[in-house]
Amino acid sequence: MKASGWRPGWDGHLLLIYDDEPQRRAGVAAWVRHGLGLESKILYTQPPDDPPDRSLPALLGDDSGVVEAMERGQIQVIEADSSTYDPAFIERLVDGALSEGYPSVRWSGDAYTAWGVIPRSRHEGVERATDELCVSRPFSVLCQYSSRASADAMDFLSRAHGAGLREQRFQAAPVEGGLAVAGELDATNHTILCSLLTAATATSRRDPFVVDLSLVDFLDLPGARALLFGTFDHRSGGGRVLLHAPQPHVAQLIHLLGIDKTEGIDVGEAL
Amino acid sequence: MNTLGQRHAAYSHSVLVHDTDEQLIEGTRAFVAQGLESGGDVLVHGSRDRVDLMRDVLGSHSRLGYGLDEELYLAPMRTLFAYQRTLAERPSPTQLWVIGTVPLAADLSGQAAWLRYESVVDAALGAYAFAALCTYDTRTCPDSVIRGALATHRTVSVDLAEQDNALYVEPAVFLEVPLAQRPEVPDTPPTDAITIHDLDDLAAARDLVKVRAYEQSAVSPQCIEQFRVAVTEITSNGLFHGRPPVTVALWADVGRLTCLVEDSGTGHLDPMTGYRHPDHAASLGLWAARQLVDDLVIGCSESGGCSVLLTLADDQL
Repeated sequence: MKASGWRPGWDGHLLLIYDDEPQRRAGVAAWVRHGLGLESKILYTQPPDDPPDRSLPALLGDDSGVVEAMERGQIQVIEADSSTYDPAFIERLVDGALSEGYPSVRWSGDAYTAWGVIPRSRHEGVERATDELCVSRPFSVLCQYSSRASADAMDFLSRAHGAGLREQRFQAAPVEGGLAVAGELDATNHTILCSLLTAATATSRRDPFVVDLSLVDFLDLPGARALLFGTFDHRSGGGRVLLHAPQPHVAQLIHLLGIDKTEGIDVGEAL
Repeated sequence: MNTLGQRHAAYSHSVLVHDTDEQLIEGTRAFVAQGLESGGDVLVHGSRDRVDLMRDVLGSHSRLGYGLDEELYLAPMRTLFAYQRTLAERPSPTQLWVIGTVPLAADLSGQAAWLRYESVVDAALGAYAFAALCTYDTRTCPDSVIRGALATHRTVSVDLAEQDNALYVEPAVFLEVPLAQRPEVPDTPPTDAITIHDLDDLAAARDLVKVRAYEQSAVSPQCIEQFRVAVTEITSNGLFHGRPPVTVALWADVGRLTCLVEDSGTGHLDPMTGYRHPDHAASLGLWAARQLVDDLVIGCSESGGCSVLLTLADDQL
């Protein structure tokens, strides 16, 4: 199984869930710097009337490497309008950057920016097309969603972002046979985890569905409950869930709460 | 106590204080016979030599088992909740009868910890068909332990019959007597402290525990991690059921972690909360936290809020 080899990363079609502006800035900055390290072309969509403090230059600060990258066009800001969300336009820009010699291309923007110029229904189509483009090209996209805006759409969002999710304290990604989770699962993110698991188990044909916990450093009661509630539908339908390789202290809480005795749940190593 | 907080009709927790082996054998024989006649499962536990003695006297039976204290009675809260888990998971309503000697710890502190265990057995196990007879030998137990044993059992076995115990005191009261050695806040300044205003700060509190515990103590990573979970649950309770801000103060000693969590609510949390098995998710956080630490003492803060003191010592150090 590939789950045990998975590590949280900054590549592919990623979903960044943020609670507040500092979280958003930290996530985007880390993603951009990762791209600069790869010498990628970095495209960033922002509204023409974005307040200066929300803009990409402000977000990245006066880092000399970033300033130079902007001056030579490696980092390029795209002003949002409806045409910039046309999948053909995106594809053309990506291919253009690749033909200039960049080894890969990265793109990011906040969902609110898109919703300011196109309907949400059309944006969903853009997300699906982007996911395909991330598979067919050396292309990574970081889609920024506030936790409030994403709460009701987690099912779609998790399916549309093939590289998984980044949140302040945990990361998750679909892997062969299930979902891999890393970081800290607690009261601040248990609802996101629950929605992710519900969506992932609904679309998986694998049984048992594997939840790779080997990179989970911290689990509290709300996080543990999310493992139960998020897999409830799958188990109610007769499916099984394997909680793969939890660290000893995580396994202790799972045992203490009786989750390992719950119908349809096994704890152990996936074959 | 069942889910309504009442004690199970087939529950009892008695003490037999004896001066001779003959009294112990007589008491044990009668208790085991009663258990087997009732159709229940019976466990006789003790030190290796005591168990050998009892095995010679009582022989074997399909529903009679023997257990060693060195395996069953390693740490008070671990033992208490292991019994609770066993009782909660028993498939049939068959009564479990247990007789034996709670091990005598090497020092007064350890002896007090086992007395505190005795004091809360009713709260943790009272909901089940469980009969326990705890035996204390006056020849080997200090007077303080005998007095503690008599203060922590509602009934006493006298001449092979159970009687109400006039010396019994309620757990919350017992915790305050010197015999119990109630865990207290260290008289030194905390290693570190933090004030929590909302859920987003929870991670900062557990990060503080982790960083300071690794820096200042030799407690094992496993102990540190389980302590972090317990502190998180209690802090979260303070935010949800008390009122913010919640202060978290940590003392990281070489082999021991102590944490005081105080909320700004109105207090009034029953000190026995979190011992009962949370069948309906009530007090689940406190119930889990109690199992992750050595002691969890509920009290009132100076500001009138609820205070919870958690301690965990690494028994490998």
